[in-house]
Amino acid sequence: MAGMSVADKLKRSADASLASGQLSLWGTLQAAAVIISIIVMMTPFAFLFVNSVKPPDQFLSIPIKALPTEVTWEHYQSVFDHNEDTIQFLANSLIITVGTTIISVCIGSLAAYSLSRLDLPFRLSPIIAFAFLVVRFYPKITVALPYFILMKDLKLLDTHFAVIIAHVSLTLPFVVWLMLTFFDELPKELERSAMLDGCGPWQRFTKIVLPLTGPALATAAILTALLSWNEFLMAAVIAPKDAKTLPVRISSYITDKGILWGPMSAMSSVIVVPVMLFALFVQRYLVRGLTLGAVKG
Amino acid sequence: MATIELRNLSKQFRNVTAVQDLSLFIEDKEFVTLLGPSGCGKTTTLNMIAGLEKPTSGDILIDGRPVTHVPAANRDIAMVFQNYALYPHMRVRDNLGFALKIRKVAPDVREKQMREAAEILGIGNLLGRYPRQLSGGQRQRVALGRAIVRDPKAFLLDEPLSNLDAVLRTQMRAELKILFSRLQATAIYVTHDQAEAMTMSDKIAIFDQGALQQYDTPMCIYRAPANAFVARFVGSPPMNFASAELIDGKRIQFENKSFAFPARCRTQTQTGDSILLGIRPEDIRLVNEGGIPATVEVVENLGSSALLYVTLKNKLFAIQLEHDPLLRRGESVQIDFSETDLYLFDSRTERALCTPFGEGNET
Repeated sequence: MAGMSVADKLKRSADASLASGQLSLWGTLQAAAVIISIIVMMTPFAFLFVNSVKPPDQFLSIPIKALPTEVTWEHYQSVFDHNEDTIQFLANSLIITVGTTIISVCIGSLAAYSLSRLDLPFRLSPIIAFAFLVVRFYPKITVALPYFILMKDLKLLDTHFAVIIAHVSLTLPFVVWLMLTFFDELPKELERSAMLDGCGPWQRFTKIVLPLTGPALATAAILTALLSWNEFLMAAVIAPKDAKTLPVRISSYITDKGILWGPMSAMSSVIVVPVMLFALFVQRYLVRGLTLGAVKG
Repeated sequence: MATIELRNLSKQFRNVTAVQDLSLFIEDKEFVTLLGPSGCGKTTTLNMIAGLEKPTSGDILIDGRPVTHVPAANRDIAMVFQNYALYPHMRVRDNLGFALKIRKVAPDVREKQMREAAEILGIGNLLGRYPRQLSGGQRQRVALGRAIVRDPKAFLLDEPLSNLDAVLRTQMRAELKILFSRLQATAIYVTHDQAEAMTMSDKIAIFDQGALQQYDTPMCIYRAPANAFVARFVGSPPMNFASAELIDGKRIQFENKSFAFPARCRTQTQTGDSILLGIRPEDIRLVNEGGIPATVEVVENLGSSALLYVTLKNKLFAIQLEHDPLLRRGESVQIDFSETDLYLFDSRTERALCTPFGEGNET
């Protein structure tokens, strides 16, 4: 059952229920849990999308209408209007996300591999690994200002690179910890065997370890990318203008003349599209079980 | 192929001594087994020879050349791991050829060597499969093939059969023996299974708690154990032990029987009045009269033979018989044995004083 997806399990339990002629209480509860989860997750997104196609006069009308009386695409037009620079923000977000993901996954996986394999004195490995976690202990706002000053001193303020550095610092601990578990689980004999086969450390890493941890790397990359794509606070502080990302752009629909609900919803819906495409593309790499057969199963 | 020599090899893990002052010489083309209970240091020794672990002190020589500080990749030694360690993302073909590819062997030579190894092991039809598509026995063969294909100086095998089921294990044991007699290779085999050690080895090195207890041929290990540990560890069911009295340093009294303490053993220093007496289950027989009285506890009929367990002064004695003795629990029997089959040990140091083959040769 280990490699089974939730959907498989549900299907199986449903099949079993059908075979016995009735839906068991447990099966019903399981199905209910999944349906409730989906509703909780999808409702805000559904509202967002519905709002993006509502005519402007229906946002605050009382009574509140769940569905618009007519569908309009004007907010999307306004978002991609030439004056809006949306394409520029999209490009900013893409550059920062791709940069963060590449750097974070490369450095993070190498660091995790070293921590997993090096036999440091005084049990330093777990201490260093723990130190990576510290970054996640405090609220990000506490470092936002120091980051601003640092980037200003380095003359990096409002550049892609500044945001990438900030995002790498946020995502690196996550990559290190995720990869550490995978490297620790990988049978040591595989590398020992490669050692006797004549591989040096780099060949062992690239020819044996990397191909086997591909799914883990994909997971790390996906989650890093999502984190960076959606990150608001740091991006807002260090890149207020030229390197502005899409989430930061959304906040600027809150103006002194009021909140522009329509364009804001349209822009938010647009942001989701690349992420969804990306997730669809990479999800097949999330399949684990490649290590099966390395050792006695 | 090559000779392997270990000189005063020791390995310390923080507070634990895994291997202690080990010296061993393995001749060219010899099949040597390192035998001992779990955690006795045999795998650590193997890893040190392979170069996977650094010894705390001592030297390793291959073909007379010190290799203690030579990296594993340059020692030209192949190892078969307990869990096979096949590369899961490579087909059998690539698993077999990997070491040759890393060593930049030309593709046509590589292909030829790989096919030869596959031929020897009968895995030619599996070359296109992934390890996960193979059965335990097939994986085992691929792991062996990966070692053979390189034609290394020596083979190291770390409990290669322990993951197989009993039937397959016996079959692979015989196959391995045939394979290595054909390869004429220097091999070091680690196991805790004495049957494997006894059947396959030219020599056996017995370990306990990191120290070498005895290094000898299988028959010498069996018939001339160096100490009570070796005697107890080798043999199934294990040797029976009992304490006997030493009278005037010349005679041994055990129950109602008295034997002469062989003159050749007397030169050994005696530390007390009692002596540890050992007797193998197959050397005990049942007699109608004149034997030592005992009570039947249980009979195990194995088909080709039978094991009879009797109690003698609250101690359980195993007796191996050719046929089912048709006895029941609680019945009285008389047991006997020849004094030439006795093993005598110093009861304090447990060193062998006298064995059927002569004195033990403790190393």
